[in-house]
Amino acid sequence: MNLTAVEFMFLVYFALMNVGYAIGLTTTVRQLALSIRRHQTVRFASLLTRDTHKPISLLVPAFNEEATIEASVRSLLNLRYPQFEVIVVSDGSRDRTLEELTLRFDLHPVSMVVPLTIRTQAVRATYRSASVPHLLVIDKDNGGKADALNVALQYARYPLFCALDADSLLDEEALLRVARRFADDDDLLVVGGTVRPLNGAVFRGGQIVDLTLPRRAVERFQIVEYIRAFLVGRTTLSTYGLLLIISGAFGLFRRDVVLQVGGYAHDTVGEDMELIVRLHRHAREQRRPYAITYVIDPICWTQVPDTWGLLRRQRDRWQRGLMETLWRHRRMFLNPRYGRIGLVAMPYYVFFEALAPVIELTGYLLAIGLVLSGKFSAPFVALFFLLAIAYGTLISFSAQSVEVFLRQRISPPGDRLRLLLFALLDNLGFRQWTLIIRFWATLTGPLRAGQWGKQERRRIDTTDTTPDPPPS
Amino acid sequence: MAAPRSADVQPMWRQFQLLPFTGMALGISVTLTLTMVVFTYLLFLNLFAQSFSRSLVIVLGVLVVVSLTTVLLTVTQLTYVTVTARQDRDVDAQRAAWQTRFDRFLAGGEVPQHLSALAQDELLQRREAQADHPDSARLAALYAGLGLRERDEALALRHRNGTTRALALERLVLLRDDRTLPVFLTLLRDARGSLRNLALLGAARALSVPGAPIPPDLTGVLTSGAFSTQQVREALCLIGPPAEPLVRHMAADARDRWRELAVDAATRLDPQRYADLADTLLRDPTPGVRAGALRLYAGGAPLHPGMHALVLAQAQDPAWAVRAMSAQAMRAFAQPPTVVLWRLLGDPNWWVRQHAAQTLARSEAGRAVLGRAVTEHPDRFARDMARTVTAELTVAANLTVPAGPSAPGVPLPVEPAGAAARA
Repeated sequence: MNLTAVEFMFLVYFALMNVGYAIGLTTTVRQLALSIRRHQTVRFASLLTRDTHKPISLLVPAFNEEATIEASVRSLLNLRYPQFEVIVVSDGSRDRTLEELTLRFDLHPVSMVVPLTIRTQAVRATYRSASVPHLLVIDKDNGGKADALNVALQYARYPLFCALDADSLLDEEALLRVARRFADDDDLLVVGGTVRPLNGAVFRGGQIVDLTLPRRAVERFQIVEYIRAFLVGRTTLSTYGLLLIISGAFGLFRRDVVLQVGGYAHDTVGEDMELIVRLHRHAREQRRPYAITYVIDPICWTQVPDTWGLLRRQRDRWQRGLMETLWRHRRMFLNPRYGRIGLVAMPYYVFFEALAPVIELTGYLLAIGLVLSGKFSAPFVALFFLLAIAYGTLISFSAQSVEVFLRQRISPPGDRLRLLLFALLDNLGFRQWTLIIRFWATLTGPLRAGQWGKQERRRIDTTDTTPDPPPS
Repeated sequence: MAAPRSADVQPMWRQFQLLPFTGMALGISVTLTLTMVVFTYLLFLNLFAQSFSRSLVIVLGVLVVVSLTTVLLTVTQLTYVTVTARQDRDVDAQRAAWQTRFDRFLAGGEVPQHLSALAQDELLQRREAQADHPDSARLAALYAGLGLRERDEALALRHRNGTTRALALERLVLLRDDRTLPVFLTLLRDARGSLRNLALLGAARALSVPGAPIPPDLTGVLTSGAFSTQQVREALCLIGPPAEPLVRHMAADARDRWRELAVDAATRLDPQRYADLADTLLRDPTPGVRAGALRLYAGGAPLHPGMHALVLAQAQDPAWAVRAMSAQAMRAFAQPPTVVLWRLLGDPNWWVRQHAAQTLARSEAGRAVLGRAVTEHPDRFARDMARTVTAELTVAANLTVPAGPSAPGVPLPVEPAGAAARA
């Protein structure tokens, strides 16, 4: 092989990728300005004060969440929105999730008849809170997250619903911000918001008042990752109508359409992505105008794994979910009937997301092999690798530069410098580690379809962790 | 003590230096893209030159550009965080100082000759929080007197940067000055959706003043497709009673969605005032409009005796939404038509059953029928629904609901033969 031709191929690939990043960065910055134009506080205030809002059902599937459930529900009940209900589904929890809810919210059994259109595991009982009228708790046989969401979906009363993880907290104005998008666009089916790691957050009165960098490296890497993925990645995909993922941790959906397409799929670990792809597919097949978008400023805080083992399992599950969804909807791949979703989004997710571990690891191995066999210049490879790291770091730095404009950000200069350092290290080991995990998940995924793997929850500590300000 | 802030919704973004940063980031992005294209092109030429050392120079060149950019972003970020952290600390003190100055001004003291950007924001928020107070008008006069309203109008209409226009427009929306109405109306046709939406909010607030003249072509603008139905609904509700000509104009629109919206807005605004709309639209060919007209009765529009038969007839409509709304509208009857509601309790659609049960639950006679339905209704889904609503009643209002067999004197509502045919 011609040495220079190989170099050329590498650089062309790299240039293409970076042109894509540059487009992403430009798009993000443009969206930032647009977000400011679109989201004036006076418009949110008008939504709060008029009775023209669309009420929202918040669905919280909970399986063995006794450590987090109270904080999670309390934070939801504190949300600023004129009309919403919270539906917690204890999905056959074997710990004290239900007892904890009963104790904290004074639950009483109620009899409810609802129109059931999706087959689910049996509901054992339904409870209403005597102290909080808009809290409903459903106890059901274990059937997985999708099953729990389908039950909640059918008990929900309102036209919009928001599926949330039990270990997540919503910013108190997050619902206002996502709901505003539904007011602005009649054709909107789903809006996703930004998900940020909860680890390292400082609480006062149940609300996040400050952010510090968590202690563990595994958490710090994820903060870098989430900032980059949401503030640059999703913004760009959404802008061009190519979004296939709305995080399961936070998305606002039009309930009737989700019921029409049959709710969440039971037999995949990527039920959140699968539903979005199915909604795209449904709308395209119906030839109806629709939109599925991401908005940058509603924020959901979620607890990210704090050990390497938990993170490995989570990433393994994400990769399998991605593969399962793409395979299930393979008919859309490069199919002009599905417009840009079939022709651009599906190929993008196949080649740059699902197959990325295979392609990138093969590239690493090929480069090493060519260097060892003397067919490739070691200094060139080293420089090229350095370049890749520098550019990856630059993208993370750019995303972090957007993050500094957020009201809640990591502020101490020392923490910011450390965060920048982790953005550098992210490309020097963490990325390669996750590639290996995802590579393994890709290879073994078909044998483990629908398996979730063990999860653990940490207690969300919402006690005040900052001293009160001194009296003035 | 600081005045309450009406909006009380925190801005998500720090706008300090956002626009310069936006420009810088765009510059970086474009530079990097061009760099990559140029270097790749150079390498393409190099491919044929077969010079390995030049390849290394090219890669090194890109590396230097990327590294310098990274350093620039690091310095910018740290500077920004440090400066804004200090700024955050100063802002509260400045706000408090301006509140004191405004208090003094309102008490007849010195008129401020200049307002900082922070003071402008504080003044507008204070005016918004105390919209009905006489002081509020004085604050608006102060703002206008300093030429700030005119400045904002000029910015909103003519500035080349969209964000600057939006921020100026937001200030005008908060100012809520009738004299700005022409600006809002002009911007309702702006190419940028974000500006149109804000202008609609501003126009709605300005037009909500009793006696404000509704521009004749406003309905056309609202229904032109530039706004979502939800935005138009919000605008009509914000305008309030003065929106009547708009609502009536929309109710006569040839397009279904606007007639539906008109009747929906009428229900939210004042059902009694729009009762005649319900009478007309109940005969509309579109089910959504008929359902809306029925909702108007359920919402409180007085039901003329002559309309009873028409409402009852809608209970056999092929569209479930119309049947459901018909069941709901029967709440406006002096006596619930238990025979029809008994039948609707066994409707195939869950919502119809639910509304029928809820309507029965609102009167003593209806509750008695509901109690019998728990055990005696031939439809098992009707029995379930009756049981659920009865249980809710018992829990919520501690009402005594007679159970089926132990409710003597309650006739079983049975329709005459042939009348129960479902659509």
